[in-house]
Amino acid sequence: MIRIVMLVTMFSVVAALVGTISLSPVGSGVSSALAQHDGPPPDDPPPDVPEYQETPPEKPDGEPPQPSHTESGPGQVVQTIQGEGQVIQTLQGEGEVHGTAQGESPSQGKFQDVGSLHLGGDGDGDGEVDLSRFGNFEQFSDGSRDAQPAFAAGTGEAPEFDFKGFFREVHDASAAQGPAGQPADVGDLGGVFGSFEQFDGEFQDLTDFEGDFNQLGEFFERSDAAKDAFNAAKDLSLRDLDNLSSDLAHDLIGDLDFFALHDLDSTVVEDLLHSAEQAGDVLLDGRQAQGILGTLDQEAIKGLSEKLKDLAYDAIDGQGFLLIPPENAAAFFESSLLGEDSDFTAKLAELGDDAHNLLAAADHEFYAEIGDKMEEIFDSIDFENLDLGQSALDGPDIGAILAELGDSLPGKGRNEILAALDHTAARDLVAIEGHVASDLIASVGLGEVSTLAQFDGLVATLGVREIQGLGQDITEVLDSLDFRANSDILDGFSFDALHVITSGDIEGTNLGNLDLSELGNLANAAAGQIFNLDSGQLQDIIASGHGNDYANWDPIAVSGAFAGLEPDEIVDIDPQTLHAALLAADADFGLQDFNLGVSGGDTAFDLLAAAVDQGNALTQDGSQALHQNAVSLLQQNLFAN
Amino acid sequence: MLLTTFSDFGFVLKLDRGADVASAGWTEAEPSNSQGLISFDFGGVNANLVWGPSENRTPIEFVASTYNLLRAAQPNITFETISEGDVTVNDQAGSFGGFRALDSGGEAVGGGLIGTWVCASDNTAFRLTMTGADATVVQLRFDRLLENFTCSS
Repeated sequence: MIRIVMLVTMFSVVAALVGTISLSPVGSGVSSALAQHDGPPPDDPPPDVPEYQETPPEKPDGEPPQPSHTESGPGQVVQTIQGEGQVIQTLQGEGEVHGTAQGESPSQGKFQDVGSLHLGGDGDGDGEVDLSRFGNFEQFSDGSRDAQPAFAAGTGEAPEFDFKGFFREVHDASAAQGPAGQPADVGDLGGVFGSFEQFDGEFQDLTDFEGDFNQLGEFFERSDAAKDAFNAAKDLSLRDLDNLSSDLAHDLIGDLDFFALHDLDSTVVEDLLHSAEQAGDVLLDGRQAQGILGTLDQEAIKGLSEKLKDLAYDAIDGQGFLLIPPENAAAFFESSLLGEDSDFTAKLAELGDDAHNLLAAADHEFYAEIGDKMEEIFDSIDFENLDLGQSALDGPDIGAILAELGDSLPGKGRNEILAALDHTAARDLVAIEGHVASDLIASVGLGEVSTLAQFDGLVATLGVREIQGLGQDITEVLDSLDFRANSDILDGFSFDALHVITSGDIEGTNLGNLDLSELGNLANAAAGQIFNLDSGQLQDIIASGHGNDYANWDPIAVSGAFAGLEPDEIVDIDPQTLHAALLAADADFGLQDFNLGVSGGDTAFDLLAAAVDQGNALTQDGSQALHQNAVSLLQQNLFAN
Repeated sequence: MLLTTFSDFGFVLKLDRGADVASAGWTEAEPSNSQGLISFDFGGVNANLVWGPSENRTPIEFVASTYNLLRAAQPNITFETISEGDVTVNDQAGSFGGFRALDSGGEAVGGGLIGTWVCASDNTAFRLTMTGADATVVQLRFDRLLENFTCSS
C-alpha cells in the first residue's frame, strides 16, 4: 500500500513538475531563431545576436508576468497556468511523509549523486525538462481520477542535466510542509526529496524511496525570460561568443536561471561572465550563483574575478551552498581562502559562516587536504550558537572536522568540545583516532562525557591499547553504552574489549565480575568477528554466557563463538552448556547423540526418498544426468574427520 | 589456501576461519553459476553444497533426492533418519532432514544433516549436506553455514 501511495505520489509530482516546466511559451522570434542557429560557416558574418530581448514584456502595471501559478493541497487538482494562457491540471498526492524501512525519519544525510536526467525535452531546443528517462510514469496513474499526465516523453538528443550536487542537503521533510492547501516553502529543495540514501541508479529504481515528492515548490518554476535566454545561449559557438557584445552577454547572464546555467557548458558560462563584466557590474541572485558554481569547471572557478566571488558569497546563504557540487565547492574554497595572495586567517574571518557553509558543501576528503587549516576553522566556528537548521554544516561535517584536528582536539576547551559534540551523532565521530578520543574522554572527564549521546561514537574508536588504559573504568564505560542503538559502530570496540577482558589485561576485571548482560552486549556487537578470538577466550566467554543461558545473546553471536572452537574443544564442554548453547543458537536440529541409537522413525523425506528411488540415484538428478566429477566427490568417505 | 569467503558462482558463503574448497560440475564438466558442487571440511565436519536448477521441485523433495544420492554414494553405510523440519536460509524457506550412519556391524559412525532451499533471485536450488562424528558439532556447523549463506543478487 505504501508503495502504491508512493508511486501515485511520484506520478503526481512529476506531472506537476512537467506541468510547471515543460510547456514553453512561444519565445520571441529573435531568440527562437538564435536558439535554432547551428553556427555559421567560417566565412559567414557574425550572428545577429544583438536583437536578443533581455526580458519579457511587462504587464501594464510594471509587474513581470507570473510564469505559473500553483496551488496545491492534499489530493487537490492543481492548475498550472502558463504564460500563453495554457492551463494544465495535475493531481497532487496526499503529501504523506513516510518513514524508512528502519523506522527512521526520511531526513538524514546529504545527497551526493542521483545520476542524471535530460533537460531539453523533445529535442526542439525549447528548454523543456525531458523525463523520459524516469521510465513510463503513465503506469503510475491510477486511472480512476481525472488526472492528466501533463507531459510528453521526449525524443531525440537533449542536453544532459547532471544532478550531482543538486540535491545535496536533505532535511526533515515534515518540517518543510507549508500551511494546509499551500505549497511548502522548501527553500533550496530542503526536505522535498526525503532520504535518497538507498538510491543508486535511475529514477525508475526508486522502489525504496519513501520521501515526500508532493510539493516541489517554486524552485522548479522557470520564467519565460530564463528559458529564452537558455535557448539563446545553449547554441552559441565559441566564435559566437567571441563576437557577442558585452551588453548582450550581460543581459543573457542576467536572465539565465539555475537550470539554464547548470546545463550550459562551462566555457560558455565562463565566456559570458567575462564579457558581461566588461559591460558593467553583474547582478546575480543566489540560484544563479549556485548554477554558475555548479557548471564552471574547477579551473574556471579559480579564475573568477574577485567581484564575482564576492557576489556569489553575498548571493548564496546557508544551505544554499549545498547546491554546489563537492569538487567545485572545494575549488571555490581554495580559490577564495588558500590562494597565494590570500591571508587565510583574515579571509576566514571575513567570510565567516560563508566559509563554513562552503566547506560543508565539499567532500570530507577535502578536509584532509587542508588538515593544517582545520584548527583555525574549528576555532572560527561558534559552536555554541551554531544553528544546524540554517547552516550547511551537519553532524558528519563537524565529526569530520573534529577528526581532522587530530592530537589538537583534546586540547581544545572543554566547553568548545562539548558544544561541537552537541551538534553530532555518535556515528559522526567514528573517524576520530582512538588515542585522540581516549585523550578527549580524559580531558573532558569520563563522568561527564559518558552521559552524552555521542559517547558511543568516541568509545567506538578505542582500540586495545586505549581499552587497557581504561582500567577498571571499563565497567563504567560498558554501563554507559547504548548497544541497542549503536551495535553496528561498536563492533570493533566490542571485539577488542572481549579480547582485553578475557586476556586478564585489566587487573580486577574479568568475565567473572562482568555483568552478564554486558557480556551479551559485547558478544552480540562483536558477532561478525567473535570467532577470531583465541579458543581459550571463546571457551571462557561461552562458559560465562551459560550463566544466564545466553539470555540476551543473539543466536549469531552464540554460533559465532562456537565457530572459533575446534571440534574436540566443543565436545569437551559440559553437556548442559552445550544444550543451552544449541538452543540459544537456534541450532538444535534434533540429532541428539548419534551413539544413543535414537531413531526418528519414518520421516517424510525418508518416505519420499523411498517412493522416488529408482535405483539410479547416483546417476540422475531430476531430469539431468550427474557428471562423473560430482559422483567422485560424493563417494568420498563422508564420516572421516 | 584457505578461503574465508566463497563467491565464485553468484552465491556467497562465508567460511569463518577458512576452508579448503574443492569444486566440480554437477551435471556438466565444470561448475558454473547454474550448477555445481563444492566440498570442504568446515570445522571438523564434512560439507558439500550442490546447486542447480530447481525444476519446480520443493525443498522437501530435494532433501529426499539428496538423501537417495547420499545412500547411493555410501553403499557400505546404513542410514537411519532421525529428524526433519523447516529452515530459513537468507530469507528463503527450506527444509532439513537429519540422519545417523551405521557401519556394517551396526555401530554408529556419525550422522548428518541435509538442508535444502531455493533462491528466488535466480530459481537455483541449493542442497547442503554436512556429516560428522559428533551430533552437536554437526548441528553447530550446519547452523553456522546456513547463517553465512547469501543468494546471488
